Formats: sequence, C-alpha cells, structure tokens
Amino acid sequence: MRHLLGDLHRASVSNGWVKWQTPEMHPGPITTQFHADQGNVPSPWDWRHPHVSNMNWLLTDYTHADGAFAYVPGSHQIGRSPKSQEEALEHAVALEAPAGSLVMFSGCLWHGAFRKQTPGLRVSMHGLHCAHYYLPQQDFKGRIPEAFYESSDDPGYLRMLMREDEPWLEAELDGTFKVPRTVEPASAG
Amino acid sequence: MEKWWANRSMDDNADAIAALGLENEVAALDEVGLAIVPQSKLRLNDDFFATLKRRLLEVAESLSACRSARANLRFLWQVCQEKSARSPSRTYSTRMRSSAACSRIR
Repeated sequence: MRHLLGDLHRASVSNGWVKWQTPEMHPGPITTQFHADQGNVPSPWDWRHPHVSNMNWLLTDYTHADGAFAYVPGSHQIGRSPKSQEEALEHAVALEAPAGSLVMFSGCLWHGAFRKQTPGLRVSMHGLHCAHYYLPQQDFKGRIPEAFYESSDDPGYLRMLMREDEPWLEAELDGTFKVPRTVEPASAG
Repeated sequence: MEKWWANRSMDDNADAIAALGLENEVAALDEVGLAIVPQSKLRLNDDFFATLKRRLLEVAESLSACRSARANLRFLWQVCQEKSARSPSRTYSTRMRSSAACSRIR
C-alpha cells in the first residue's frame, strides 16, 4: 500500500464478500460490472499515483468457473474508466489463485467478476485503502478499541490507517468544547 | 498523537519490500496493475485463513436472511411433524420437503 499510495494513507472500507452460484436468469458472463475503484475521480489519472488501492484476501480458491475476479492487465495505465463493458471484457482475464493468497491492485485497474458456474461459496475479505486527501467510505476514527492497536506489531501504522493521527475532529475550542461525535468512541480495552 | 508517516521515506519502504521478498510483486503492480502475493510470503498459516473465513460466514449469516430462513424452515418442519402425527398421509410430503430444505441450508 505504501508503494501505491505513499507513506500517508487511510483505510477506506473493509468488508467480506460471499458469492454463490449465479442464477441461470442472470444475463452475460459478468456478475460484477467492469470498473475502476477510483472511477468517481475525473480522468485522466496518473497511474503512478493512484487515489485508492485495493487488497483482497482469498478465503476460497479462485478459478474462472468459480466466479473469479476478472481484470484487464495493464489497464491501469490507460488512466480512465472503461467506456463500455465490451471494451473491458474483450481483454479481460480471470484471476486464478489458491485460498490464502493476497491480491493487491491499483485503483486505476479495470476489474469485475465472472459469473459463478459452480455450487458452493466464493469467500473473500476486501480492504480498500485511499490517499489521505480522499474521503474514506467508512469512518473508523474513534471506533476501534485500544486493545486492537496494542495487539498489532505496528500500532502507529494501524492508527494512521484509522485516522487516529488526524487532529481536526479532536480540536478543542477554548479548552472546553470538543467537536461532538454522533457515536461514542469505542472504550479502551 | 504520533505521526507514523512523519519519519518515513520511500527508501525504507524499498528496504521493507526487499526484506519481505516482494520485489516481483511490486514490479507487477507497476506493469500489470495487480499482484498476487502467495501465502508463503505472507507468513500466515492456514488457521488464520480458516478462522477468518469462519468468522466472516458467521457474520454474513447473522446479517442476512439465512438465519431467519433456517429458523423459519425449522419451525415449519416442527409444525409438519406435529401435523403428521395427527394426520400422517396428508402432510408427509410437505414435511419431507421442508426437512430437505433445512439440510441444504445447513
């Protein structure tokens, strides 16, 4: 993530994905449409400095038939979102890797997912990260128990990801007023 | 609050990449836009991934309709059992269908 986003970056969202067999009625070979994760940023993009980057922990084997991640190699250097699904599908390949792999990719990369042709579940954990100037999708600040940081090998890095080093929301005015939170922070420990 | 990034530079990032043996993966990020890091380089054992998967599916079940669907089917199955005890011939097929559905969801 440091290579893609620089020293200062944030966790944007962390979520689990569970995918089951694609219903017969679903049209076409794709279930997640092709896109780039930073698609809401006006193009052209400088692919050397993506605004967001993603990582997927594969918890089941990924194969084409099992509804693997689909992507267009090298598309991050085009510097924009795909203009159509066909434009991406024509050059798309399946990401095939065993469970236990970690997939990392640039926010400029065109990607989606193939339909799952087999029974059973495809399971993965995703972690989108973003540059420090980019609005994270989830607000982690003040909501992570202190014990979580203390259990980390690098608590300073983890605090940075969760924006705990960001002073603005902690600003005290006249020493008496603190910008209110809508949700109480998680208690320490 | 300490600024983790304040005393960093991309030079020490290069050192970290070399220490982890991730040079090829970083090159792939630049050339392909994507890299696959094998489990052997992550220094995480199978238990880590098995636990993560199990916990994720538990959360998914608790947040989705799966749990209530299973509960509903169990309730239906119990009702069918009670009814079949009173009138076996009429409800046997329904009971078998709901029982089979429960098995599939499990």
